[in-house]
This record gives sequence, C-alpha cells and structure tokens, in this order.
Amino acid sequence: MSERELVGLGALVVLVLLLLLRLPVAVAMLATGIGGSWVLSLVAPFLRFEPYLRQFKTLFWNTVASYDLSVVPLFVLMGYLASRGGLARDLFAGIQALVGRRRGGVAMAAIGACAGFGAVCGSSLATASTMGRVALPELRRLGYHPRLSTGALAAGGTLGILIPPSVPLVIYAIVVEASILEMFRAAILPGLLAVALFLAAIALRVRRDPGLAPETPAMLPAERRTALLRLLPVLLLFGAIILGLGLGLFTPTPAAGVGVCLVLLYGVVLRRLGRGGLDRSEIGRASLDTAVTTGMIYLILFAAEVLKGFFARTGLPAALAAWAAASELEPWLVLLAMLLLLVVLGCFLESLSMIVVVLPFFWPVLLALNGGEAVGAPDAAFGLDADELKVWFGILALVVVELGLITPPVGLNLFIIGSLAPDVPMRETVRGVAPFLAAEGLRVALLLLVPALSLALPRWLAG
Amino acid sequence: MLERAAAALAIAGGTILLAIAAVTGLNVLLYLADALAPGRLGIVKGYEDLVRLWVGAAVPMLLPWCELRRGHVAVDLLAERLPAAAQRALERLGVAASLTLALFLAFWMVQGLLETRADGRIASVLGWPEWPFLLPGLVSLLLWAAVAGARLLPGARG
Repeated sequence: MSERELVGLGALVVLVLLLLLRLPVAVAMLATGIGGSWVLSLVAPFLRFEPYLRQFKTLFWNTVASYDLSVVPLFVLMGYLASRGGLARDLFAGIQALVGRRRGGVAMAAIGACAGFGAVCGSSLATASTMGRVALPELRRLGYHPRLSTGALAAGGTLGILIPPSVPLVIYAIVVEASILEMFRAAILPGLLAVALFLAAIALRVRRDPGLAPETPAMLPAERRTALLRLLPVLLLFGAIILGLGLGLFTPTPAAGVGVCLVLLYGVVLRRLGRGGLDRSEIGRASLDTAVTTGMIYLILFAAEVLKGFFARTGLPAALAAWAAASELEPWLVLLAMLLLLVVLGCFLESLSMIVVVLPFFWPVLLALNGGEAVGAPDAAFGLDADELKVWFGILALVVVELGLITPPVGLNLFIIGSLAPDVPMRETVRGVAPFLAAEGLRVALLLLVPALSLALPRWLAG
Repeated sequence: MLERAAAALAIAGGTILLAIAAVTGLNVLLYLADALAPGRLGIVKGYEDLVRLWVGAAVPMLLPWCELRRGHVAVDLLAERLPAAAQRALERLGVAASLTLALFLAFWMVQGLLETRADGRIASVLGWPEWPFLLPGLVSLLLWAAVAGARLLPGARG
C-alpha cells in the first residue's frame, strides 16, 4: 500500500472518530477532506496544498448554483407545503373511505397514505412525522392496538425514501453520477412492491391476531362521498408528478417546480374553502422548515464533493477497485456483504451520511467486480452493464438504507412515531415494525434475484 | 436580532424558490402551448441559467437558519452516553467547527466573487453577470458565522 493510500485510510479512521465525537456530519467530512489534503501535500509534495485551497473560490458556488441539484430544495419545499397544506389529511381520509372497513383497513389506509404522501414529499422523516400526526389519532380512536398502529406508521414512513420523487435517490444519483430520471423510473416498481408487501404484512398479522384491529364501523354515505371527492385532486396531483416523471414528460427540476405550484394552488384553494390549507404564515413556516432540511442536505453534498476529491487524490478508491478486480472474490458474496454492512451501519448512522460516505467506496469495488466500466451485460459478473448496475445497486442500497430508519437503536422513524405516542413503550413500536422488517427482507431478496423489478421500467421507457 | 435576520433570510430564500417554481410552471405551460401551436409562443429563454443563478443565491440564504435550528445531522452513537459536561463540550466543539467552516467559506467566496467580477463571467444563455448572485451567499455565510459565534458566547443556549 502506498503512502498516499495510507493517508486515505488514516483519514477514514479520523472521519469515523470525528463522527463519533458528534461533530456535524458535513463539518466532519470537510475537516477530513481539507485536513487530509494538507497531510497529503506533506507526504506527496507534488500534490500541493495551496492550489488545492484555491478551488474553494468557486467550489461552494458551483455546488449551490447547480441546475441538477436545484431539484432538491424544490422537492423539499413541496413536501413541507404538502405537509402544512392539509393534503395528508385528505389523502388518508380518502383511502380510509376506500379500504377502511376491512379488518386492519385503517392501518392499510395509513400505509397507502404514507406511499402517496411519500410521492409528493421525498423524505421518510417528513412522511413519518406528517402521517403519524394525521393517522395515529384515528387509529387510536378506532381501537387499533398501539403495536400495530405505531409499527405500521414507522414502517410506512420509510416508503418516502424510494417512491419518486425522493431526495435520497437524487443524492445517490449525484454521488455515483447516475441519471436522476433513470433512478426515479427504476424506483417506481420496488416502491409499489413495498406497499404491496406492507399491506400483506398487515393482512397476515391481523388474520393471526384479530384483536390487533377491531371491526371498523361503516362511514356515513355522505361522509364517504366527501372523502372520496377530496381524494380526487390529491390523486391528480400525484398522477401529474409520478406519470410526468415516469413517462419522461418532465425532467426532475420541472417536475419539482410544477409540483410546488400544484401543491401551493391546492393549499390556497383549501384555505379559500375554509378547510385549513395554506396562508402566508404557513407558507413562511414551510420556507423555514425547508431552510433547515435544505441547508443540511446542501452542506453534506458540498462536503461529499470535497471528500470525494480528497480520496481521489489519495488513490484509495481506485486501489480498492484494483484489488477487488484482481482478487478471487465472488461478486455476489461481496454484494451481499455490502448490503449486510449497510444494514448494520444503518443501525447507527443516519441514512444520508451513509449514502455520501459509504457508497462512494462500495461503488468502484462493485464496478470492478462486475468487469469494469466498459463491460457488456453478457460478460458482466452480475449480467448487467455498468449503467444498469449503477441503477440496480442504487435501488438495493437505498432499500437497505431505509431499513436503518426502523431498526433500533437509532431508527429515526421509531423515535418520531414514539414522540407522537409517548404512552406507547418503545419496545411495543419495535415489536410492531418486526413484520414490516420481514417484508423488507423479502423485498431485498426479490430485488436481488429479479433485477428486472428495478430495471424493467427504465428499459421500457428508454425504448 | 440574529434570529430575526436568519429567519428573514430563510424566508427570502424560500420566496426565491417559490419564484423558481412559478417560472417553471410558466415554462411548462409555454412548452405545452408551443406544442399545440408551434411558433406562437416560445419557452422561457435561458430557463436553466435562471434556475441555476436563482438557486445559487437562494440556497446559502437557508444556512444561517439551519445553524440556528441545529439542523446539521450528527451521529448520536457514543456522545449520548457521555456525561452531560462532556456532551456540552462536544456540542461547543461542533459549533466552533461550524464557525470556522463558515468563515473559511466566506473568505474564499470573497476571492471567488472578486475573480468572477474581474473575469466578467456571465451566464451562457442569459448573458447576465454572475457576480451579483454571489453576494447573498457571502452575506449568508457571514450571518451563519455570526449565528454560530453567538452560540459559543457564555450563557448562550447551546
């Protein structure tokens, strides 16, 4: 191992230490990248530090003034406007009117509403928090067992990470230089598969233990009609965004811009009708919420750019890839080990940090094991060319990363739902998500064995 | 006062994002109209330039509020098991690092702004000079540093 690679390895250890010291992730990454580059200039004098520093004259501006990244703040803003605009409430009530009478139907409605809300929100945490506030009181009122209620909502919240438009998908695409649109298209079927498996998990759970979900009284016909009528504009909104993206009518930034306009219009109309909705103060609050999330995301993306540049200078990712290519390692085993490691790391690390810190190391290794950048599908270890491997691996990795949101001890969705139901012990919520974790395990297996689940739609839409 | 300034800047940034959304909506409508009646209406000229410049101005405006609300993610694995005093010290270390970072970026942004202005760099389609769009970023980075600095003052709430 060369001195430069050793510096890279040492920097990785320092990064982990800084993270353990609870330094903000972006700050830890930047400190590692900049400090590591200084050390590198001492070890390898031709990698001078002063010219390296001069890139910061434009690097920050180039990151924030990126057309490709502009999709992120717009999707985040859309999510917060939707969250404050009453959209989640109408969505849940509408789906409840459709399936709520079945045993377990209200929990199923909560899953459906989480999926729908995830489609306009793009954030798992915002989905869990918003749908938790909307659906949890109703589930409790109808006598659903706290274990089922909190478990379904914590798990349902994870649907936001994959169902497009999703901010983590955008970030993955940027980190590994994949097409955002391809990633969105690839995520549609796996996202729907998760919804189907979660619904099946509820149905099986309730069949085995009917006490978890009592019979729900029928809605009054007028009440049902109103709920269904109010669902229509919400469905049109989702349709416009998902179909627009899926069919290639929009590229991501216009889709996000149009989404913001539609959600805003919807919220303002609701306000006029006297049914909540959005006024100036709510829009202002949505802007402030957007500021917190977007500021955090952009800083991490900027830090990822700095860290990527540093590690490229150390030659560590290339050395790892070369070592993997020369090794006799079984590609499928390595892939499984990577996914397993992501599950374990997901128990401790926040999902965005995993995408920007860990995946840039995994991707070159996987690419090398597959046969390199130029390999064709027939000769590739995974039977996929580099572009398709990037998409397939991204979907798999994000599904596994989202498991971290409902895995103790740092499953953030568990804490969000826990804070909304303080009387429910955390162990009940953890027990409640267990069937959904099993469903997720099944989904990972299906996505591994049948790559077409992720790739069929992008292939079909690309003609 | 810092809180008000950070909130005002964040809301201004949010307003720019809404303006981007509005221009995007208009662009899509014009695109559809052009598809129906070719040649009558064009799309917004330099749309991508406009989005890039506006978002470049808007995003840094969100950072001071993010700092104020402690929005930066951190890993709660080891630190939460430490004594309260050690946790406070680590928190201050994180804030001090944020302050250093904000000042570091502000310093280099001044250099970048001067260079962009001296080079006469313009947006490729719109032809607008780029340097004025860096100014909100510079103000925001300084405010971010001020917010982080205030959090380090004795008696500050973390």
